[in-house]
This record gives sequence, C-alpha cells and structure tokens, in this order.
Amino acid sequence: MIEISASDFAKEFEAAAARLLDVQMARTPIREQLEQSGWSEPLWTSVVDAGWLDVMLPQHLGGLGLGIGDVSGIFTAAGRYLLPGPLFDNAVAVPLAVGQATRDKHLTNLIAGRKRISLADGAASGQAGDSRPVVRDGRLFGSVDLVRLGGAADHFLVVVEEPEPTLVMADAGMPGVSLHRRRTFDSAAEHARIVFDGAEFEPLFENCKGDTARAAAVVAELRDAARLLFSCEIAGTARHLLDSAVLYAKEREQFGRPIGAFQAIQHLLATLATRQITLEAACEQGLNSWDSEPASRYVAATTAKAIAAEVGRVVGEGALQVHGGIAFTREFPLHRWHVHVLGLQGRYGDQHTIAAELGNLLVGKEFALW
Amino acid sequence: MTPPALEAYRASARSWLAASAPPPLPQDYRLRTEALREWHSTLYRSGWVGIDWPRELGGQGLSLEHALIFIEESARAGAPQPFGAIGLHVVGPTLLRYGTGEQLARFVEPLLSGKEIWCQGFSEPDAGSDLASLRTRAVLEDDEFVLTGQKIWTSWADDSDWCAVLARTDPDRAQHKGISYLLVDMKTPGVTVRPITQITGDAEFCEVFFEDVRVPRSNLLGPLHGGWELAMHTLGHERSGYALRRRAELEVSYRNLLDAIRLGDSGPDVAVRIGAAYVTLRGLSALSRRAVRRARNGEVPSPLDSVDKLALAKGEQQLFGTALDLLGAHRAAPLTEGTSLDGEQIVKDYLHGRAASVYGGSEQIQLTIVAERLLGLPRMR
Repeated sequence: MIEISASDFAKEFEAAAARLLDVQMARTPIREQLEQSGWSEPLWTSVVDAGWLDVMLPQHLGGLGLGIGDVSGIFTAAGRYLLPGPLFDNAVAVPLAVGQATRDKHLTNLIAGRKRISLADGAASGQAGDSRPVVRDGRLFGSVDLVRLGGAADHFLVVVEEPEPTLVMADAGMPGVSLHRRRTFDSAAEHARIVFDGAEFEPLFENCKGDTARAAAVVAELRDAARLLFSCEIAGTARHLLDSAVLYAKEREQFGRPIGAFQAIQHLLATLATRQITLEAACEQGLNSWDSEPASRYVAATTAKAIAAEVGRVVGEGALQVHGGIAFTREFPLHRWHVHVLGLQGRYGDQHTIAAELGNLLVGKEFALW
Repeated sequence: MTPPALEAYRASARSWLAASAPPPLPQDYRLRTEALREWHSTLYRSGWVGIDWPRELGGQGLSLEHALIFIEESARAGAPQPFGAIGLHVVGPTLLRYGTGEQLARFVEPLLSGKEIWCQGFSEPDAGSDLASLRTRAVLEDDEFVLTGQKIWTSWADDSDWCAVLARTDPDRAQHKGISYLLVDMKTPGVTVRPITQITGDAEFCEVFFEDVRVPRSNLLGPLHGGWELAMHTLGHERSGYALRRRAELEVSYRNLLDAIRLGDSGPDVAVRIGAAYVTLRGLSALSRRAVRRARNGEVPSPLDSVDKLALAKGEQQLFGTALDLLGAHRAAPLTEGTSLDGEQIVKDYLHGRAASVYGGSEQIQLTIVAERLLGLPRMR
C-alpha cells in the first residue's frame, strides 16, 4: 500500500475507486465490451459520474481543487483493476493545464461540456524531437505516436515543442487531424498515432515572454506528474500480480503440498515483494515531495518511474513463473496485467533511459543529489 | 512535530556540519578508527548523538525524524557517522526497551558519548543462520553467571568495552527458550579477543572466547531465559535502524565516486551506470522513511525490517559493483596514476560490500522471513 502523509483523501479515494471498479468490472455487459474492443462507454461514464475527473479541477470550475497526492489513490486502483480510459489525461493533465493557462476559455468550455481529451505528448514515447508537433504559419504540423485512448478522444491536449514547449488544444474532428490506430497487446489501453497536417488549434498561452516561460513550466510539471502517477498505476497493477502469485502459491499443490512451501518459490516471491515494497515507498516519496521545489519534484518523480518500470516488469515475469503453464494461456487473465505494465514501462522513460537521463545530469554538472 | 520545526533543525544541522570540518578518513584501519572515535566524541559534545534518545539519559529527547535529518545532512556534508554503530543502532535500542532503571543509568550515557563502545556476541562457529542452536553457556552461581564459550564474526570486538552476549542459561529447554541476553564487560578476566583479517585486509571482526567469565547477575538484560525476544528486537534494529545509517554512508561513497567521475573523461555508458545506482539509492531513501514511521509506531521488530535489509544489501552491492566496473581491467590492481578514481578504496568497498548479504541474518534467511511472515506462505519445517 502507498501511504501519503500529506493527504487525508488519498486512501478514501483509493477505497472508493476500488469499490466502484469492483462492481463495474464484474458487470457482464461491461466485461463483454472490454473483451471485444478494450473500451466501455458505460464504464467510463461511471468514472466521470463518480467525480474522479473533478478531484484536481480548480474549485471555480466546479472541482475539488485537490492535488496529486489526493488523486494518486485512484491511479493505484485503476492499475489494480486495469481501468481502460484516458484517466491521467482528463483527471490530471487537463486540470493542471486549465489551472495555469492564460487563455483558458476554450478548455473551460470543453470541460463544462464533458468532452473527452487525450494528451498528445511526443515525450511519452520518447519520439524523435523533429517529428513532434510544431506550429508553422499559425497551423499545427507533425505527429504524436502512442497516444493512449486516442481513438476515444474528442480533443487533444497537444505538447508543441518549438521553440519552447507549450500546450495547445486540437479538435479530433477537424480537417488536418487524422488518427491511425495501433494494434496493441494491452487490453486496457488502446493506442493511436495522431497526425497533424496543417490543423487549426487553440493556444492555451499567449505568445509573449512571460507566458512562454509559464507554459514550459507547466509542460515540465505535467511530465513529472505523468511519471509519478504512471508509477502509482504500475504499483497497483504489480500489486495485483504479486498478490495473485502469492495466493496461487498457497493453493496450488505439487508433491503433496502447496508450492509456496518450497524455498525456491518462497524466495522468488519474497524477492518480488521486496521490489514491490520499494516501488510503493518510491511512489510515497514522490507524492510527499510533490510540493517542494521543481528540481526535487523532478528527481522524486523520475526515480519513482525508473523503479516502477523495472519492478512492474519483473513482478509480471515472476508472477507468470509462479503460475506456470496456466499463465501462458489467453484464457487465464494474468497476462492482461503483465502486458499492461509492459505498456507503462516505456511511457515517459523506462529504467534504462531514465538512468541515462539522470546519469548525464549527475556527471555533467553540480546537481542536488538528495 | 511540525514540518517548519524539522526544517529549522535541518538548517541548524547543515550549518553546524559546514562549520565543523568533518575529519578525513585514513585508509589504515587503526588510524581510521581513531579518527572516527574522535569524531563521535565531537558529535556527542555538540548534541548530535542520541538525538532521539531520552534527555534524562543523556540524549536530546527529539524524534526519530530529527535523527534521520542529521543522518541525511551528514551524508550531504560527506561526514562520517559516529563510531559506535553497534551501541547506537543495534544493541542500544534493546537496552532502552528492556533495561532496568539502574542499567539505563549505568550504560546509556557512556554508550552515547562514545566513551564505551559496544559489540554484539551473537554468531558462533556452529550457530550462524541457525542462531538458536548457540552453545555458549552461562551458569548462574549465586549472584554471578559463569560464561563459557566462543563467539565469531563479532564486529569491532577488539575496540569494544562491552559486549551483548547471547548465552544458553537453561540447557534443558528447547532451542530458543533457554537463552539469556547478558551485558559483558570486555575487560573481565577470561575474555580473549582475536581479530580476524578480512578479505579487505582490515581486521574489523573478531573471534571472542569466554573462559569462566564471571558476569554479575545485575548485567542480565530482560528476563532470565527470555533473551530470544531481545535478540529478535536487536536484529530488527540491525536490519532497519542500522540501515538508515548505512544508507547515509553509501550516499557519501556515491558522492565521492561521482566527484571522481566528474574530474575524468567518461563515456555515455558511465552515465547510465551511475544513473542506475543513483535510482537504487533513492529507493533506499524512500524505504528509510517507512522504517522511521514503523519505529515511531513501535512496529519493531517487523518482517518489513527484512525487506529493508534485503534492499540495502542489494543497493550496497550494486553501488560498489558499479564502482568496481569503472576500474575496467584494473579491478584487482588499481591504477594510482592518471585516474581520478580511488581504486584501492573502491576494491575494498566492493569486497566489504559482499558481507552486506551475510551479516545480521543472511539474504536467504531474510527471504524466508519475508516469505513466511509477510506473505504468509506455508512454513517449511
């Protein structure tokens, strides 16, 4: 369990989210829809109705105006239950953007109209800088690959890289915006490539010096938030994988006793538990230091993501091993959690790319270590 | 305690450390020990030892959060930890928990000041992982125990004034039920210490022989024959509380390594490795916050202590393994010219780090504890 000293709400939200998902994911129509297409409109509506997207929304827009720590429990629950949906995009990225945008009217209207928004950020997949969206002659060009739930979105919150990173809104239905669905192994996250070819857009910031710096700071905060909350989501998914493997080891018998009585299995599971607990502690550290200065926030979120990337994958592989042959089948559902962490592992950097990123900062210059 | 008060404490620790010039540590074990003893004494005089220990016993009466802040600031300043590690972090907490008023009055102040250094007489030649099979005997004669037997791998015994000894006081009871926890003066006749040279070349740990050593009954800690519970308490602290301190030491080593790398030419592969080690140390820092929370809530010992121990050992071995790899072909014969890396120290640290998955209960013992007591898997026995 992730415990955040700074928030009284995180646990409550997590418990409420788990209760809702427990009920909804067990409903036959929703299960059938998820199995067929990986998407369920009624499921997403229940999430919206439950107010998950309002937790971080500023109070003047009808939200609760709470922070990352408060909302984090929802991500752990979403990871545990494999909720498909643009949760980070609408529950975190949109509130962060609208709260600091200097041209917020368009986005405010979209929020009021319950429009579904996906974040389109080339950094999420480590896409080459020169292919990411740019503005030329007042129009949007370029592409973003691996946009989560891109196909289910009405609008895109687009990170434009040049010259400084900023945020604009683009309408999915307008000319110059095209969508190419990717085939995905992850049942809980459909991915698409979005191409902008002279599309119209609505800026969220004015084109002046003060706003440029402000926009760049918002993009940095948004990317830190993504690293941290995807870590929380991985922690939830990996927790499910570990718990399933432990339960299975207690029930499955070979040689006349539960396989969990054998030291080889015990030590494998204990190693996974140690890794999992380290991940949960790293998420706590990131959440608890969220409101410190940007450099500490960046380091805490980034290290949490590196740990999550490695641990999620390792726990998935170990859980499969403990289950044996049954976990190698499509019919047995364990693979859905395993593949889900693979999808998140590389999002905003895996342990290798982050090690290089941090290592270059550390070697290159004086850098606040701890 | 409010966060602003903690931050003020952090600021005062930082400025004290900046003004106090932590000592350079010589390679030579003897000289290093002397420097560390002196530093311990300086720290105590300035109120930085026993931060979370009761004020009436010579501590500062503050919280474990305060103690952690000083550990972190010491690491930031590159300052060593006080010399008396076993007393402060391993035996001391058990003394505080189980000691009588008289025992506390006698032992705590010199333990904190570093005037009396402690060691921990647990392992024996035939009782390593299976600690409860220990054979050192203590027979009660009037008001004295007569102690006979042998301990081994006793760290810093040669420098110690006192030893926390586990001895069998009731040979008729099942393994862990007849053990008592005795506080033994190392100057008592019949105590012999023989240092053992380790793979690092240092002689930090020792064999300790007890031949009819007379220990006053008043030096029994906790109940007669009830020492096993105390031993588990001590080991719990060795696995979690000591980890807080050891992490700070690793951060100092990391900082030194990074400083050396910055002075030299390094390729991209160095950045990846040094970044990965940094992530691991940050994970240990995250775990240490949980250890503090558990200690504050009185949740020691806990199977989560074993999680800390496992993570710390892995982290230590990864860090020094990374450093060793940077020496390239010169791993066993480090260069002394043309490099900013302190090869000799790196090799010693690497070799020393191999003990991290052995002492305080081996990695395999910790894994079994986690499996059985945390995950609830069936016991094998």
